[in-house]
Amino acid sequence: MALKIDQGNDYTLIHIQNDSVDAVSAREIAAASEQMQAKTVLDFGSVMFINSAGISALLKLVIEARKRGKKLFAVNVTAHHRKVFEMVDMLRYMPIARMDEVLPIIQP
Amino acid sequence: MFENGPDLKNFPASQADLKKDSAERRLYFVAVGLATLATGLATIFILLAPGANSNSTVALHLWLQVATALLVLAFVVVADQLAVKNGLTSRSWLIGAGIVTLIVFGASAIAGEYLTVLLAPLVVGMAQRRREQQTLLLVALAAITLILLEHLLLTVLGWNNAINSSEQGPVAAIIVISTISLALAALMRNYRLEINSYQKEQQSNASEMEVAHEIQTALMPPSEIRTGAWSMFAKSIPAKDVGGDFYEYIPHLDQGIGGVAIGDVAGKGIPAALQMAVVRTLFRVEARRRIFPAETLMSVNVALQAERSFGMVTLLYGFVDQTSSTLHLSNAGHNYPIILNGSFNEVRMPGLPLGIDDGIEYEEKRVHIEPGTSIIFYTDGVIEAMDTGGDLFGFPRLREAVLKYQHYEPREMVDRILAEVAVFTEGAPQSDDITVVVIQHHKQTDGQPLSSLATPLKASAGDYGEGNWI
Repeated sequence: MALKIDQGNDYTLIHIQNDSVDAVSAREIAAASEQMQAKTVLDFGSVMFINSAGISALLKLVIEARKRGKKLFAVNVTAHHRKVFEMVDMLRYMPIARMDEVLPIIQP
Repeated sequence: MFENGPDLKNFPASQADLKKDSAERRLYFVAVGLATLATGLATIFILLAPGANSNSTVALHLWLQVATALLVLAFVVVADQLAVKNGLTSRSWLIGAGIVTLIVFGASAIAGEYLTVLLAPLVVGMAQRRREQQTLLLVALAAITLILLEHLLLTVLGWNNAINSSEQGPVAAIIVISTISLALAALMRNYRLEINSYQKEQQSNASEMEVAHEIQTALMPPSEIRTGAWSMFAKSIPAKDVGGDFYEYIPHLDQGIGGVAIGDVAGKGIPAALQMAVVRTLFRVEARRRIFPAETLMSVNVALQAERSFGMVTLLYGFVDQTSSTLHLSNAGHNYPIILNGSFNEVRMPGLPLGIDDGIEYEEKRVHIEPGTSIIFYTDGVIEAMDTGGDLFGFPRLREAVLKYQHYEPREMVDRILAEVAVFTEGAPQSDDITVVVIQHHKQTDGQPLSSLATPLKASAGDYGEGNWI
């Protein structure tokens, strides 16, 4: 399993445990979308590589989640992937934050 | 449990696999040989056993055991061979197995219950027909357990009097060895067949990939173009399994304008190559109908939304107005273009890739391009090229390489940047297409009219209209 999911009262914390996000692991993340609560944090701490299929699946996921009124945040994103996320406009739908910034939001 | 044999996706077709296949062939023949030898030894042992000739009843029992054992072995080996070579149906195989089973039971009633262990090879054969390799081994283990239990039970109950137990022990052991050998033989042969099938499939896929490569290469526009004071050079190095990188040139020479685009279809293999062909066609149609890049990208995105199951496509489109030396840029999620004019400048323009969501409007930026400026487009294969240690080439190394070669002509600059990537990766397998396009506004046009720079069109450039192709 590529994901470890922690559920809080009104938030979901998804740790991506694979070192790469590709079409397969992105599908697992998409499958986890049903468990996403109003505030969801995706932790990319273990991720070293994201290929184009992974980006595609992630984009579809975050756009769909935002359309359903969910707030998403990404944490522990490398500088390389921060730039990739920026280029594909993912940051508009899933801003990157530090964990210490996100915690007060998801656990006020 | 493997329903359809082992997971052969992890078996790359290689010289190593061929060697492995040969090793498994040898192991198969060794196992069959062992089974035959064991059966032979059992026969000799029984024939030479004390009392075999003095007690006609015991001798009859022994011969009956040998005959039954040989019948079972013959059935499994011959029927399996026929099944593989001539497509013997499972039904025929099962009917034969049923008849042999009845004979075994009949012989057991006369010669002693040890004969029931002879059913084990039949079960092994059955498991092989069903391609359940783990069952084969379980059956072999079950055979050992069964014979031990039978021996114990019959001895305790005092019913084991068909033959002297001192003679039965070695016979039973030899039968068990035969059973295990058969199980191994069946397992090895089944595995070899799977690998042969996989290798054939790989060869077929490889030839399909070659066709995909040829299609992809044939679809690419000419790599080197020059119109007046502007020139362009592009190079794409496809990954082994064919990716979806492409570049495109749109001539609008009557207006002194030309467009250059670079894109990347998510995914790999033939699906990505085919999707790339669709996107390029859509793009060429829309780009000829419109001037401004943002409108073109929006139209292509709308058209792609109509295509079901279409993946993501990143596309960067730059449109050069040569009369005003202005570059119009619009970006759908592609790597930012780099403008080189003594310094390194990225034109930051985020945008959703095409095919992700409808109703997207794309931003357009205009950049004045002074003579001596180079514009670089590239795909993610450059920055995500990986060395043997798993490190990425990355944005910083690209920036370094671009600055290092900024004063070169487009062709030289592209070659040298790609050479930097190749040196970095140290021969590590290329996982994605790598494409670099350099557009340059030359400092001197020599005051020549466009027509004087023109050379005859290459055959592949026919679709691109009247232009100055080098």
